[in-house]
Amino acid sequence: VGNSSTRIGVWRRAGDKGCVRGPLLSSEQHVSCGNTLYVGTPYYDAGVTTRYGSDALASDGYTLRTDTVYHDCHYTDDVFKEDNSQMFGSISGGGGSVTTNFYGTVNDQTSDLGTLTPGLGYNVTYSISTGNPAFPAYTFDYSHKCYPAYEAYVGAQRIYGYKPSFNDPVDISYCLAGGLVISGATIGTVN
Amino acid sequence: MVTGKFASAVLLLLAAGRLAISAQVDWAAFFRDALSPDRATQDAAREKGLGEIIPNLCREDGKIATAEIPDLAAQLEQRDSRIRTQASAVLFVVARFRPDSAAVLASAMAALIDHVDDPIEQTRQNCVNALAELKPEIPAEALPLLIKLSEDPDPVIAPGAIFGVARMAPSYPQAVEVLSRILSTESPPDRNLAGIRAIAGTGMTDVRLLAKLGELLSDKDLRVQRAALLAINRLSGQAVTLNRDAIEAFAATSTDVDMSALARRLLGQPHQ
Repeated sequence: VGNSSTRIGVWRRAGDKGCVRGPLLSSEQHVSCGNTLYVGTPYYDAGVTTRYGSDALASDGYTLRTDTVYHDCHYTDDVFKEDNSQMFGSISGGGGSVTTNFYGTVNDQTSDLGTLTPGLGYNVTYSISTGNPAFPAYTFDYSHKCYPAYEAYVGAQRIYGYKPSFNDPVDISYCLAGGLVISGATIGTVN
Repeated sequence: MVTGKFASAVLLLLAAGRLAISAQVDWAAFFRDALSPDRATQDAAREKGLGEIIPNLCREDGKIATAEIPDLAAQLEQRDSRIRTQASAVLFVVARFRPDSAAVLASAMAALIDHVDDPIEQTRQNCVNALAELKPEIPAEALPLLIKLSEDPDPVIAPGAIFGVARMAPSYPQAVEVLSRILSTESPPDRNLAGIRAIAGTGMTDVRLLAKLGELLSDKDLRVQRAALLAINRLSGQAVTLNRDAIEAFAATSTDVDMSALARRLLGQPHQ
């Protein structure tokens, strides 16, 4: 079956004022599963965030210029290894089925939205069953904040994705404060 | 004739627009839809909330926004904890983004204070953060509460309260005293860090507090040292001048290459 993982990404681009953050906050979690669904050790990575100066955005509107002199609001302004101390999980099952729950909050130290901006948050549960070994089935229950982007994978198979359609500080703050949490479930077969 | 029809259409559009702005939000229905198990209902509520309700509440006329608050604050009394979190999130963004939020949220103050003790972490955090973000100034009556909460062992409460105390420091010597204790090397690192972030985030100019940042450059905790130097860099000017000796000592002794380079740059020394 492979690994199941959750990826959480900030895709804000560098803007036009002061020091702003770049497009990559990634967070991944993995649980190892063999052909008969071994319960493995979960792996948590809160990822690395990079803050860029306003001059980092190239004229193509996409490329970000970098440098190695930090804290000067020029090109790369700072690089943070985010804290994974609030990322948790639990695993149960084995043999024919396994259920994994991941939940947590992670702060984005590059946030330009103010000192009191809450972190991103999620609570997801994967259930994988090999009742029919030819077609392993998954159920994915999710609940997460409405910012930033969230994705879920079983191996390389993307089974869930959400990408916010807004980039306004009011909406982002509201989402990170827990407003309009997104929840639901999806089912399918593992490719 | 055409001009007359055009004028009528414009008047109708203006009237419709006015009605759309002034119509009060049914907060109970909005939160019910936002929390619906049906994803399509959720998505529709989110579109309306993020595209219309929340931005309007943060930007429209103060009288109209003020009229929304009693019904919104009443949602903080719902038994369903998810609804309380939704309501507290709205109150937080109103506090943060409206320049008149202290006046607009006056009728919600009691509920915000009550729910600083809410069993749900996110709701507690939103309520204390809303109090700390009130604009243009946090009401004087809130200072004793914020000082008390600044000592709260709950990690989601103290940082917001400390930020609120820092915002009040320019007008209240008592707030400066509290911050001075928080920034003492005798305080635990987490309190130091919350205090440093508050000092940097509020653009502090009090010389006594700025000098504390220099003392923290020699703290035992490397996170505190780093945060103090970044705060000095962010505040610049007087924060650098007042702490020049401490920055020099830090530059000479720190094993953090990145921070040491920043310290030298703050002193005007060439990059090594």
